[in-house]
Amino acid sequence: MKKNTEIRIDAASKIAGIEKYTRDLHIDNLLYAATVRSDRAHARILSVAFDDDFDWSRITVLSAKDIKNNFVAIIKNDMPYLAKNEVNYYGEPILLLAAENDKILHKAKKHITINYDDLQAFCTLNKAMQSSYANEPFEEIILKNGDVKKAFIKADHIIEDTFETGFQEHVYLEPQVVVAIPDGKTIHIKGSMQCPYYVQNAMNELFMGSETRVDVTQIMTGGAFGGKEDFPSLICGHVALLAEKTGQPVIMSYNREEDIRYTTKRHPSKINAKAAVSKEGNIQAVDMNILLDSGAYTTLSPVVLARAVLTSFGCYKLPNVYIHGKAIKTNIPPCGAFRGFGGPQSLFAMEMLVEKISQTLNMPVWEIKKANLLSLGDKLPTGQPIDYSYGLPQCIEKVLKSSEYEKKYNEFKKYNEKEAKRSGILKGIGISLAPHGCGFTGVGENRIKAIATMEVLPNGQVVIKTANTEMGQGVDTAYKIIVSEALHLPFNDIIIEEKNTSKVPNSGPTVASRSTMIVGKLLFDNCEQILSALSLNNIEFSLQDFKEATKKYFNDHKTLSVQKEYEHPNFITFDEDTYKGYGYPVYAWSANVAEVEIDLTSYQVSVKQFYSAHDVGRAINRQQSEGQIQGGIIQGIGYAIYEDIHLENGQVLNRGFRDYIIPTIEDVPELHVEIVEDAYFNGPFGAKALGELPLVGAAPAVASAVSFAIGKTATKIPMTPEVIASMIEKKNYEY
Amino acid sequence: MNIKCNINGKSVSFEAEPLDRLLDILRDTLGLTGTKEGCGEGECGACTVFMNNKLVNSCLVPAMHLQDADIVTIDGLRDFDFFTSITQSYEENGAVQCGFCTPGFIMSTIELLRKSNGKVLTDDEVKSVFAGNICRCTGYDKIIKAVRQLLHTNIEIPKRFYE
Repeated sequence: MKKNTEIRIDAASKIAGIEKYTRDLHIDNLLYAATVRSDRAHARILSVAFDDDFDWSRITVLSAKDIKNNFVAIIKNDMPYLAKNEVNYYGEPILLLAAENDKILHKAKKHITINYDDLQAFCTLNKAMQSSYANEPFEEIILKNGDVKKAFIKADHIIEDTFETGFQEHVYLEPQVVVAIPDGKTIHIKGSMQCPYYVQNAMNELFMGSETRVDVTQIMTGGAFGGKEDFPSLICGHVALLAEKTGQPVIMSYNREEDIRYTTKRHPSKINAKAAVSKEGNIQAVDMNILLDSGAYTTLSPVVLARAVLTSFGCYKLPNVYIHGKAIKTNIPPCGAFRGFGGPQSLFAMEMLVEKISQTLNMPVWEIKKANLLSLGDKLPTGQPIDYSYGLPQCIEKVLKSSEYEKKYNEFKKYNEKEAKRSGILKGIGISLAPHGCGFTGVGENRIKAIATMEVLPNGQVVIKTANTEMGQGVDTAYKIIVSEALHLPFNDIIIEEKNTSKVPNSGPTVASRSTMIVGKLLFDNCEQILSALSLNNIEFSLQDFKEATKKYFNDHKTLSVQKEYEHPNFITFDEDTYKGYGYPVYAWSANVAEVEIDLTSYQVSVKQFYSAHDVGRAINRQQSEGQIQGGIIQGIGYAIYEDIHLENGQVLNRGFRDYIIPTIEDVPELHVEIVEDAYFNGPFGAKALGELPLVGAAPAVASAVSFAIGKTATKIPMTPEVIASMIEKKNYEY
Repeated sequence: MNIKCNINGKSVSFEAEPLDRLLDILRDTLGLTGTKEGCGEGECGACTVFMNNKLVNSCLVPAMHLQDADIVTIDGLRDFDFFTSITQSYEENGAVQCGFCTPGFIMSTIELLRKSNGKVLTDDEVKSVFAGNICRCTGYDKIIKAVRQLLHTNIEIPKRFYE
């Protein structure tokens, strides 16, 4: 494979500001929509009153009573489009309004009074665990391997702690926005989204039994990170219902405050982890209890929990494990998909458990990691053997070398002993190892049965038809590279079909780091079908050969369209009851080294250098791969030290970018990114997954460096100055 | 109130309420949708434009300040020759991902080129110009590389940006 430095296809139009995002579309007769929300965390709705002295003639109002199938189809279908009798979180939609401009909507909202009867609300994991919610988890998973009890009895050391991770907000730069355009027969939904078929399926359920038909088109999406995976199904239902009622196009466009306060976020977690360790530092057993705070409705929590469980063992050989995960309901806005999808939470706990082992045994953390590292041929606690595409050792070698880890480890130790008091700065260096399962968890891909289609045009151009969406990650460019390489065609002879559910097959959602590996492989296989139809069997054919063969084919046939449905390699099986087997068809791996400084006056952590190596199987587009890795690392650093959502009685207090701080250009460290390519036999040109992994390993590397600097294991992220102060001064600050 | 001002080299006049935002006037009244809204509170920089040759967040500029102002947006830049160099550098260095913040970064890039005026700036000086632009995708590294490359190219920024 040669062409892996193509310039991304949408760069120029984005730079020039001519790329059209959803709010840039010109739509005639457009109505604007607004949401009237609960201002209680948990309550019965007693009445909704509209002031008589307000002119309601220009406002369309929609309530739960107008919706026959009032549930957002996701996993358990427990979340309504609009609350009917009861609200379960502060901000839950109760009414929808539509009018010709935002100003009228704003006024109208002030003339609606909702009366409630408050119910007891459980707005934190701790409170929920004391309530009946504890006994009715959205999902519960137990993964057992070996004899944990015995290992703990025989252990030289038992090392235990409780690790907490916070909410994280996606902060895609383009807030949520969708529009519904009715044409008499069909409602055309367009919007900023990751998964047009998720929306299509939700709309099919919403309008089940009615005459209304819906199709869905993804418009250029200004970032998503999981935040536009499940959430758009809710607001697409909102605009579709309003469009059906008014007969006019309706747009729902969230401002930043609404977006931060009421859309899904990363699940906060509380994880108790315990290790049985020999005096040499070998981990003989791990017992882990994972609690995810899921918010008011199920959304994707069962799958997020599954990934948390399957990531919890990190990159270590653990002979005995007992991992118990629960996704718990609380009365806060529902949590949803977020890059890493449960992995960042449980990997933080595992990596910090190793940190604590190293501090308890007074051995360097890298020694502990090395002693317990998976080797080729070892098995994960699920029984999955690691016997192909395992580039982690190379990743480790690269980062240890580029970061001069061992040298700095000793230097910083001396510096902290001798200089820190005088300079007021502590220095730390930390290391994390991260796995990320590629594609859907367990047998998910067998259920999705992704389909990708390709069509050859008579002029020899080729059209790619998938439902996978471009949201900044560069998937369209990657697909064009795969196809142009496999068919020996010029880049510009390959056309990407609009991501419209009436034009492209359901190739599954654009999530779970699956687009390149799973769907890219379908495209690769489609190319082989095309070559075989064109009788181009020799490897060395030219563009001219391809065009002539196409011409000849079209003399005898009307169309040349090929299709491929995904099939798991037959040895890849998974038992969902015992969690045994292949949690993922393959893992991608990373090793990360972070250098931090902690200011002893302000207790602010800053990351100075970050070294990272990722085994991605094969980088289809090297430059964009590096970009994904760099962006993911910075998002992970934000997760580790800056990004903090404040809740009071279930109400998100953050209002925007003033009080939800993400890394700016002045906060970022020097990034040193290397790519390792240990090919995966079932990926296109050997490619594995890349989208999520960079974020998973970043926070533990920073937390490891902080633990080094302070001499105490980090147990909580984000490590805000208050958290650092409490670590250093051993006092409990309120945060 | 009636407002007359110069936008992208053209004289325009329109009706607006005194507190209407420049951002909405550009996008809704004038159809100049290259300028994006990310946060609506002057923190993200996606709506950055030049107003009287200074960078401003157009979400924070009320209409009442626009009388006789000179505004340049991303939509008014495409036709300048120097824009090709900026595009190339951003493309070649992979500095664009979702692209929603990009027009704002381009406006700040022009400010930076204007500021450097041939001098090579330190990384800290470069970063300080972009402190008001947030990007969630790239990790900024490739944007810095694109800008560094531009700083080593001789780019003529038109005189109207200096006056």
